[in-house]
Amino acid sequence: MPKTVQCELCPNGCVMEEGQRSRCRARMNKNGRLYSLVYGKPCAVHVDPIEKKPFFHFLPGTTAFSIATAGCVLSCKFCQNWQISQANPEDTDTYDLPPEKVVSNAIRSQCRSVTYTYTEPTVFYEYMYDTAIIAREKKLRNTMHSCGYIREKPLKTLCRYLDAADIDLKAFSEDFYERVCGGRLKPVLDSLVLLKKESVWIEITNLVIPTLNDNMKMVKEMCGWVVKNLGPDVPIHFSRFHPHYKLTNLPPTPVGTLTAARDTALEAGLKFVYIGNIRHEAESTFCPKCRKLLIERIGYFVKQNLLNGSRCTYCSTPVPGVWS
Amino acid sequence: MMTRRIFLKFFCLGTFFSLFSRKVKAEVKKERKLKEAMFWRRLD
Repeated sequence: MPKTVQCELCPNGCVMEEGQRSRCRARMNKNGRLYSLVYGKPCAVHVDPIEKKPFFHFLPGTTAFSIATAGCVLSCKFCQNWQISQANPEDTDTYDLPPEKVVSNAIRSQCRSVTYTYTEPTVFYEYMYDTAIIAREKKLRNTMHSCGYIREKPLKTLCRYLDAADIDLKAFSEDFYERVCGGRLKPVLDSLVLLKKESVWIEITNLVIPTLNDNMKMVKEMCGWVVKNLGPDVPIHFSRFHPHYKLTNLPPTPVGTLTAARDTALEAGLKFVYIGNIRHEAESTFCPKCRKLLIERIGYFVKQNLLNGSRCTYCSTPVPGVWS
Repeated sequence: MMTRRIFLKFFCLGTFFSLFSRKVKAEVKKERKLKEAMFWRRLD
């Protein structure tokens, strides 16, 4: 008797016969039931500055207890963590870290939040969900860095415990998502709209890759969509590409391209536009009204925070974010 | 230069430490029961 199952977690909707695995490598059909192969088995555990995620408007200067397991729902040719995102769970070195231990370790490390990151948190959904519940009980915040490739129902369920999400908006093109990432753009946009609706703090990261998504017309279209659907307060990070994984033939992103993307985003109406993976003054936060420096950053570190609560010290303009 | 004397010195030291040092047992990982996924359906 056939025991076929379908995973309903991400838009891939993998159909698995008995003994088969999902595309993300983290789920398996065993005796007609679907199991997670990575629950409580992170392959990466670190205490990071929250700015590394990157979150620039969420508890600046604090640390985040960060975990990841093997696997990913996409297969981006430029992946910076391909050694674990494109690996089978059994091929990675893992820790035995059940949800309660994640939270106790986070508290012991004086972290303010637990972050689900590095690979794609959707693949370890059950682990993330159970950890998030315990973390919330212990007054820790939950954040994730995700590609946003997840279905509505699981994301909505997770939003009850999620405080912030940094979503990789890899390009504003279905063709790019299909050719370079093996996915689709539409579900990512739907996730962003849902996160906004569920009042989860959102930041967006866009890795600017020479010749693939560095067209300013596309950047303008993307920023216009963000302003229209999520509002002008959503911070966006234009990140510098470095040759990696299957795209070692491309050069690092020229600084001029990143600043052009930033100018385009500001023109489109976004108020907080950052440049990442490179030392630049656009790593810092400026007041959208008086343009004075409010949070000075050097890399992942906050050099000075001049916010007065959640307002500009100089002109009292409210600065959107989660500051305490 | 590795003389016979130096070689013997290291050989004896290595033998001494391996024979008389405390034996550490390799950690045996507990095999955790697999967690059932939250979002899936049976097709047949």
